[in-house]
Amino acid sequence: MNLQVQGITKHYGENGSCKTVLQDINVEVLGGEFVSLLGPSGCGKTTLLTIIAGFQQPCSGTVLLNGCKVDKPGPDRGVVFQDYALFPWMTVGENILFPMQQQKIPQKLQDEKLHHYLEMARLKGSEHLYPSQISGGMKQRTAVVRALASEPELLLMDEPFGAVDYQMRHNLQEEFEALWQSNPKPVIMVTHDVDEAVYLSDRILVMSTNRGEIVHELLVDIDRPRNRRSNDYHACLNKLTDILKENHKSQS
Amino acid sequence: MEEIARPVRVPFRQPPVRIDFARMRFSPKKLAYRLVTFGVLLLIWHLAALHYHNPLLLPSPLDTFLALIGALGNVEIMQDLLLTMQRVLIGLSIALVIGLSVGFAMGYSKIVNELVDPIIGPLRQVPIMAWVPLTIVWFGLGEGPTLFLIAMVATFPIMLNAMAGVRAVPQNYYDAARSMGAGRWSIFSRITLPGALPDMITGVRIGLSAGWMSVI
Repeated sequence: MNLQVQGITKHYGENGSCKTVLQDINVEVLGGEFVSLLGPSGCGKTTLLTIIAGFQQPCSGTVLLNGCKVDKPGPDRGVVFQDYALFPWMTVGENILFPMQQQKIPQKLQDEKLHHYLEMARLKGSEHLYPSQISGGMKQRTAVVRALASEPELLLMDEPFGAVDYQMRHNLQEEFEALWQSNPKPVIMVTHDVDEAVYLSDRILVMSTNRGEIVHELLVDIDRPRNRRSNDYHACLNKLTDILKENHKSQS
Repeated sequence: MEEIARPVRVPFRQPPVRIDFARMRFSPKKLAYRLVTFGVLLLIWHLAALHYHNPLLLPSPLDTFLALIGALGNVEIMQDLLLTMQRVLIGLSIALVIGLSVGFAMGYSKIVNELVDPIIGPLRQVPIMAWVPLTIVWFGLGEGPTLFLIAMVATFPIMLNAMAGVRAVPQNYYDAARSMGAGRWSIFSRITLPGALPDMITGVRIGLSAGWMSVI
């Protein structure tokens, strides 16, 4: 897998009131890397993710996935939405089957895969429940395996742990880590949570507050699954916090 | 301008899609409440009839019931009833076809909406009685005017609710479906249709009762 984001620029508005959201963004993601886009609200990180997903078009620049130009959504990029976007009229099982049905996978294989994903996400026995009947954690796991079920090259996640409280968020992150280790896929995750970025990422791209640029890149070289109490972890957390502070100061 | 709205996250409502069958189930308690309401109404009616003591002003419940039994045995009345039901059915079918198709198109496409809305808006403000002389001129005195009127009143609630239903389907669901490789037909049948269903049902129910009321 090789994702190249080349010179992406995006601005909104017309008649003189032009707002630049992304300014000449260049990113490369290789292999099974977990990359986080970190920045405050309104810094353009979600816009960048939706461009990679193909939901909207950049004003200039290109996104290449394995050398092919990305210009619309496709099953080669699985998306986990912030609010999960599970279809409320389908059961957990039907939600997970949906991408497989779109790809016309033989019925027997679909059943096998569904079984596999339910097992992986510890959703066995819940496949006949509707999203409104399951807990936040189960929704999140359903959303992740649904995104995995189209066997994408790359997983895109938009603040996937954002909608829950502190403790729940930690639990979900740990669950995701376990799930990800059993099924490693390159990931690009959008977040504004420093701790989340350090806990999950191999590489953190820090975005500027309002210029729409990537201003810093931080490699996180700590063994997985990470211990949130270890010295290495805290050192990394502090470093990242300093970067964000400096970033904020230099722009205000 | 559609793109500007996209990064702003609007908390979307979860459509109340599954119909709660538990609430529709028969329960003895519910039946008792119904009986109480019905009984009180009958009692008031009966007392009022006693007070006026004039079958022309207000016939008693018993007289009315007897008249109903008589009507049920009357072939002519039953034939008329059948005819009325037939008219409502045909009128509603026309309303369903026009209402759902135009409503869906309006919900789906901004262009269709812009084109059709200026016609729909004024048209549905016309009082139903104002159509009567016109339709008699157009269709003569036969079935035509009745069917037209039933279809006319039933179409708009069906149409506007279908449109609202389609619009209420969150953009997220479309994005999700497309990113999982869903094509146009799949998106329509598995996302738009079930997503718009609750509002569609509301529209059909309103249209149905409006159709019944305009039979006379």
